[in-house]
Amino acid sequence: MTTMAVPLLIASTAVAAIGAIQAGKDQKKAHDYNASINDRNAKASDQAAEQLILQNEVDVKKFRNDFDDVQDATSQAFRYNGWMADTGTPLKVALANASEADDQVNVMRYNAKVGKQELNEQGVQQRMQGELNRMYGRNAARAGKFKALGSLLSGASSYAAMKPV
Amino acid sequence: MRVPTYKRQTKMTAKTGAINFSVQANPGALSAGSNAMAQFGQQAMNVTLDYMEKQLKMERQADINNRENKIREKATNLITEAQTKNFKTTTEANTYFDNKWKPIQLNALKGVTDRVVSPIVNEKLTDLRAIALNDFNKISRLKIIDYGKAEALKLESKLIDTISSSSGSALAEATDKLYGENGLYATMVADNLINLETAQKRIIGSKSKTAKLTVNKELAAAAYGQDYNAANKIAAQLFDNTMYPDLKGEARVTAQKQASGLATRLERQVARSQEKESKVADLKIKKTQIKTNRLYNDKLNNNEVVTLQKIESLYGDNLLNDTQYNNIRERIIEGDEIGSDQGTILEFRNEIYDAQDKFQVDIIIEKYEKNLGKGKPISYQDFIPLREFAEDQKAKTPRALEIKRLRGLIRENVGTSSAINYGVNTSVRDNMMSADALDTFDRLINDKDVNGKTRIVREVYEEVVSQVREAKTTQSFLSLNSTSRGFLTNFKFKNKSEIEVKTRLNTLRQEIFDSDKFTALEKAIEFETIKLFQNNYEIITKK
Repeated sequence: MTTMAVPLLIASTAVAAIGAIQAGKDQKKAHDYNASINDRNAKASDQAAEQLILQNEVDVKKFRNDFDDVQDATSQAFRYNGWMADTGTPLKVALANASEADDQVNVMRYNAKVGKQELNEQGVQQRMQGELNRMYGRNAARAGKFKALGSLLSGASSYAAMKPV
Repeated sequence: MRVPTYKRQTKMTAKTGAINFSVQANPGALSAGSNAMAQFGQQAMNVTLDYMEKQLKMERQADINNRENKIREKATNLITEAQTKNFKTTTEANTYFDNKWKPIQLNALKGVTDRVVSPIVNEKLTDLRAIALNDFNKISRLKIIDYGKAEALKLESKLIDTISSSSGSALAEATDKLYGENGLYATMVADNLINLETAQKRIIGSKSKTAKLTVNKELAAAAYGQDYNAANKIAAQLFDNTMYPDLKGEARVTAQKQASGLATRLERQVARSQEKESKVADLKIKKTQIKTNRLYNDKLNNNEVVTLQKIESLYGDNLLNDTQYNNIRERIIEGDEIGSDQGTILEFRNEIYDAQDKFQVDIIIEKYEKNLGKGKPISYQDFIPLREFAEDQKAKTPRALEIKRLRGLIRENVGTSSAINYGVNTSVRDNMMSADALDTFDRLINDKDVNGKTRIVREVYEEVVSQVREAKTTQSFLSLNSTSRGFLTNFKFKNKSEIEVKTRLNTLRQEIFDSDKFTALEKAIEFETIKLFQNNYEIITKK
């Protein structure tokens, strides 16, 4: 029995050690894969942020065009009512409308910046997640190596205990 | 117309642009490597500790086992050695054990530095000492009891000997020492050497032994003094149950037979001795007469002066017999014949040659002695060589030759003679028996029967042999027994000096004393026999 036990012990120890290393490697791969997904999500967030700003500027421009139409309609109405469109109250109204439109643009730009910031933050978060996953992977690989060493040590210890003095 | 006005349509977002990060590090996953390393370290430490612990335990156990084995081995040797010792007291035994155990203990603890090993070895020492001491005590106790018994038995034997041979205050003292309240048997019971029942049996036995020893000593004295009257008296006393009251029935019957046998034998010996002395005296006279006759005939042949007064004086002193006296007297008065008749001389020689035994030779000589001197067929001078010739022929007769042959047979086969020794151990008794047989043969061969006829040699031989056989089967007294003879091995007393004989007898006495093959009575008898031999050592050096 003893003659059979020693090779069995060596083989099982080797299998356990190799298995532990391989498990570590596999875990690292999984974590690395997750990290690459995170990287991709981060880039997507960055692009979305840029896209948001560009889209907002388009919207601002469109708004300005639409507002110009509103101002024209306002001036026309004043004129229709017999008012001088570019003095007095009509002017105040026009100035008030313009002020409102500027506020509108400012708000739109502010909101776009906030959206961009948010998307940027999401990218950061994805990158952080990716970095974490890579760290998990490295740790898993390292853990696999130590587990392998532990298996080898356990096997050696068992063999030393079995070995006659 | 209504004037349109513009109001801002978009509200400013309440968001700040920052979001709550949902990313959270998994401590387990993040510390997996460190944990694995830590676990590995822990495992390595455990393995190392386990290994060190096992190794240390093994080393300690090996050391303890080694020391224990040595203790056991030495303890066994101690017990074995103890079996060869003769302890006399418990103190002596205990001292011996302690002295032997000390080096064992010191050796067992020598070089012990481990604080775990030390108390265990000490514990082992304590346990093994207890076991060894128990075994040792069993042996030593037996030795002490054996010694005590041996000493007691020696004293018992000595006291029995004293009681059997002493009287008065010495007897009373010895009796008290043996049977008294604080006597030997009481002490043996008190010391647990024997129990009370055994003591009572021994008392009865020792009293019987004492009585037997007394009888035997008295018989020995009678035998030594050749006093058959004393032997007869002892025999008569043995038939009286009031005498020697402690003697058991069977022993009494044996003693009666011994005493009667001894008395008869002594009586025969005395008678034989007296007869022998008489014959020796006669032979001496005859030899002296022959010598005197020859001397004075020689003087006459040499023409020396021999007076009749001298011849008569010699005859008166029995130094010449009748015929010799008459012949010399006639020769002085009448002178010798000048020449002898050759025919008569030839006839004399023929008759001598034809004689069957020395008795016939004597008759022929006597016949021709009457025809000597002046006017007779043979001159005195011629008769002297003729007589010498006749004397020489006595040893060559058929009877003489048969005597020689049968006597030789007795020498070879009775006891252990000096002629042939078949490797059988010699003994005093055998030597004495051989001497006695030859003496009896010589005596009977020279005797004539009740009708005055010469005895037939073969009959004499057979008579002696039958006497020897009888002596061998009945004689159990005044000779060493077979066990004592065994102690002598090949030692022969013949021709040994007094010192050699007495030294060997002293050694034999000690051997018997130390032997357990004898009863106390047998020892006493053997000692008595040795004492007799020592007092008269020449008995056993002659044969």
